[in-house]
Amino acid sequence: MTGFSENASAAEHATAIAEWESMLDAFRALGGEANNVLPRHGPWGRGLVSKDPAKPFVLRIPANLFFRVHDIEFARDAIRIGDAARVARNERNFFEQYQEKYSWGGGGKGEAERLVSMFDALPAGLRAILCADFAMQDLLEGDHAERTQRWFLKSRAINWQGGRGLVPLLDLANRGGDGFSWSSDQPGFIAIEGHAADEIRLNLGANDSVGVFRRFGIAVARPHAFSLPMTTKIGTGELAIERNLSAKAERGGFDVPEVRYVSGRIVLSQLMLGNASFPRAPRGIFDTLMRESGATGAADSFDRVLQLNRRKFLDLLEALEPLQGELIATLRSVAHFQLEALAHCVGTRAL
Amino acid sequence: MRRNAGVVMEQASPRPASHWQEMLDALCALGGAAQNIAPGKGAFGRGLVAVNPAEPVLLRIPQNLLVPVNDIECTDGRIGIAPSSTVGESERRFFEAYEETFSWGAGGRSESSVLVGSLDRLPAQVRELLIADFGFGDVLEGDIASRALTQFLRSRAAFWRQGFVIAPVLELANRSPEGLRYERGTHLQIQGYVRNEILIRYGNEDACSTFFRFGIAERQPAAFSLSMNLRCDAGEIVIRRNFNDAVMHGRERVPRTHGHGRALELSYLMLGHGKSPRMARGIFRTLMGEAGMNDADETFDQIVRINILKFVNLLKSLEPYEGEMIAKLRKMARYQLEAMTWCVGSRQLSAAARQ
Repeated sequence: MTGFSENASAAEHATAIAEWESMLDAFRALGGEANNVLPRHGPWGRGLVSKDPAKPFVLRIPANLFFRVHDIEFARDAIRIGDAARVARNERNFFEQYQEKYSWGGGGKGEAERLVSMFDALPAGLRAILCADFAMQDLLEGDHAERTQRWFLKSRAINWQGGRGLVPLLDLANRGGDGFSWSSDQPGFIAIEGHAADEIRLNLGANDSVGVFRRFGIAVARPHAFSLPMTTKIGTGELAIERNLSAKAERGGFDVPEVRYVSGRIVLSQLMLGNASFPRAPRGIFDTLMRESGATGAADSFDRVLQLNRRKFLDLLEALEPLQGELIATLRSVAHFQLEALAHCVGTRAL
Repeated sequence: MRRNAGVVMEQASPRPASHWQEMLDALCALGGAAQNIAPGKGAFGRGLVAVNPAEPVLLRIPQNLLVPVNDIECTDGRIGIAPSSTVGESERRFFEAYEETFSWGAGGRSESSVLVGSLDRLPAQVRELLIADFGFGDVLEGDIASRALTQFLRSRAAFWRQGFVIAPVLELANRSPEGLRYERGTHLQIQGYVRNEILIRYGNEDACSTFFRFGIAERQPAAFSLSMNLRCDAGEIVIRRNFNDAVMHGRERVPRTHGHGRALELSYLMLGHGKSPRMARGIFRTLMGEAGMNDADETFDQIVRINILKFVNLLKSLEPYEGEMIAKLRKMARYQLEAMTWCVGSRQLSAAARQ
C-alpha cells in the first residue's frame, strides 16, 4: 500500500497501480465489478477514492466474495479462511492474497494494534468505567492479539443476508455520516455507486456517536442517540434496555425497538433517547410501547433512563479531564456528541 | 509590589489588630454589632474567623451601612460612594476607610484584577461564546479597571430588599452552601456557631452563577436556565437569572412571573435539582398553568435542550485548549450539565395562594 501514499515515488506509484489493476482483474474474474476506484490515503487515513472524481464510481461484489466472519481465522500473522468453511478455492485464494496485500496485511493490522495499544495505555480507573458503563470489554479485556483481530473484523465487517462478513474492496472504505449506503441492487450482489468528490465513504448505519466509536474507533456527531444498556424501574415493574440496533420493528415511519417480556420484566432491544430531526419521537416511541405493554410510570421511567445516560457521559468526561492523548481527545468528542444528541428530546408524539 | 501577567498585584498591607478593633468600634457606633469576629485565613483564603469557636458569632450591619452597589464608584483606584447617593456622611466616611483598609484596598482589587486578567487571556473564540451565550459581557468587555470593580462588587454583594448592596465586614466572609444564613429584618446579620472560619450560605446559585460571581467551579445541587427569550408554540417565554426575585407558592420558593396568555416572563427557572428532581418540571408546569399557557412539557423540554446545547458547545469550544481557567470552565460546564440531569418526573405544587 505504500505505493499509494502521498510520499510514494512515481515508480512506486506506477507499480502499485499495476498491482491494483491485477487484483481487480482477479476480482472481476470472480464476478465482481469495480470501476474508477483506487486505494489512497485521504483525510481519514487509508481509504478508497475515485480515480477520476469527475466520473461515477461503481463497486459491485457478488455473494461468493462475501466472507463470513465465522469462517475467518488468523494464523500467526496471516488472515485466512478456515479449512471447514464452504468457500471455493479461487475465492479463498483471492481473499487471502487481497487481505495480505491491501487490508489486514496492508495496514489494517497495524491500525487495529495501535488502537488496542492506546486502550491498554489508559489508566485503570478509566478502563473500568469504559467496561462497566460503555461495554467496551472487547477492546480492553483479553489477549492483545485476539483483541486486535476482533477489532479488525468488527470495524470492517458488514451485515448481509443474515450474517456478518468481510467484503473485499468495500472493507477498505472509511465511514462517515455523509457516506454511501450499500445496497443489493441486483439479487446476490452488494453494491455502492455514485460520485465521490473526495473520498468514497460508507455511511454509519443506525449507529449513534458511541456506537460509531465502538465499531469504527472514530468520533462523529450523529443526529440521534440510543440508551446505553441498563435496567431500571417502570412503575412497580422492571425495565431492561439493550443496545441491539438491528432488532427493531417499524411503526408510523419510525424504527421502534422489539419488546419482549422476560421473567416478568419488559425488555426493549434498544431505546432512542434523542433525535435532532424528530425530537418528539424518542419519548413518543417509549410512551406508545409502554402503554401497549400495560406499564405505568412511563414518563418517570424515560426521564430516569435519560438522566442515567447523561450522567454516565458526564462521569466519563470527568474521568477524562486530567488526561491527554489522541484516544482521550476522541473519547471526549464522543461524549460531547452523545450529550448533544441526547439533548434532542422535546415533547412527545403519538405514533 | 509584584507583577503577574500585566496585572499589578498589591501586597495586602499589614493591618494591626487595633485598626480592626477601631473599625468595629466605628461600625457599632453607626448601629452595627460584631461579636467574636476577626479577620483571618480559612480554607477559602482571606475571610472571617471566630475568635473563639466555642462561642457564637454575631455580625449585624444596619441598613444605613448597606451601600447599594449602583452607588459605588472607583476613583483613582479607591472605592467610594457616588455624590448622588443618599448614604449619610458618617457612613460614607466609614465605608470608604473600611474598603481601603480591609477590603478593596487590602487585596480585593488584586484578586478581582487577577480573575479578570485570566478571563482576558482566554482564546477569542471562547470569550465570544461566553459573551454571546452566557452573559459574561461585563467581565470581558471594556476597561479592565471597571471590570475588576464590577467583578469585586458582584462577588461580595448581598441581596437586600429590591437590590444588591455591599455590607461592610460581612462581605469579607467567604461563601459555602453549608454556611450561616443571612437574616434579613431591619438590618442584615449573621449569627451562630462556626468551627473556625465564618462562612455564609449561598442563596440560589448554580455552577454557572458561582463561576460568574466568584470565579470558581463548584458543584451545586440546582441548575437554572440561562437567560433567554423563547418563541414557541405556547407563546413567548422570557427567562431571566434573577435568583433572588422569588415568591412563595405554598411552601416552595418559585420565580416571580409576569404576563398571561401568550407571554410569560420568569425571574429565573430551575431546570434540575439533585435533592428534588421532580421540582423543576413541577414548578414550570404550575406556573405555565396559572398563566393560562399550554404545552408546558414541550416548552420545558425546549428550554432544557437550549441550555444543554449551549454548555456542550462551550465544552467543545474549550477542547483544543489547556490552562487553569480553561479547566475551571470545563468543570463548571460539566457541573451545570450534571445538575440539569436531575429532572425526573414532576410534582404538583401545593395549591396555596401565592404570597
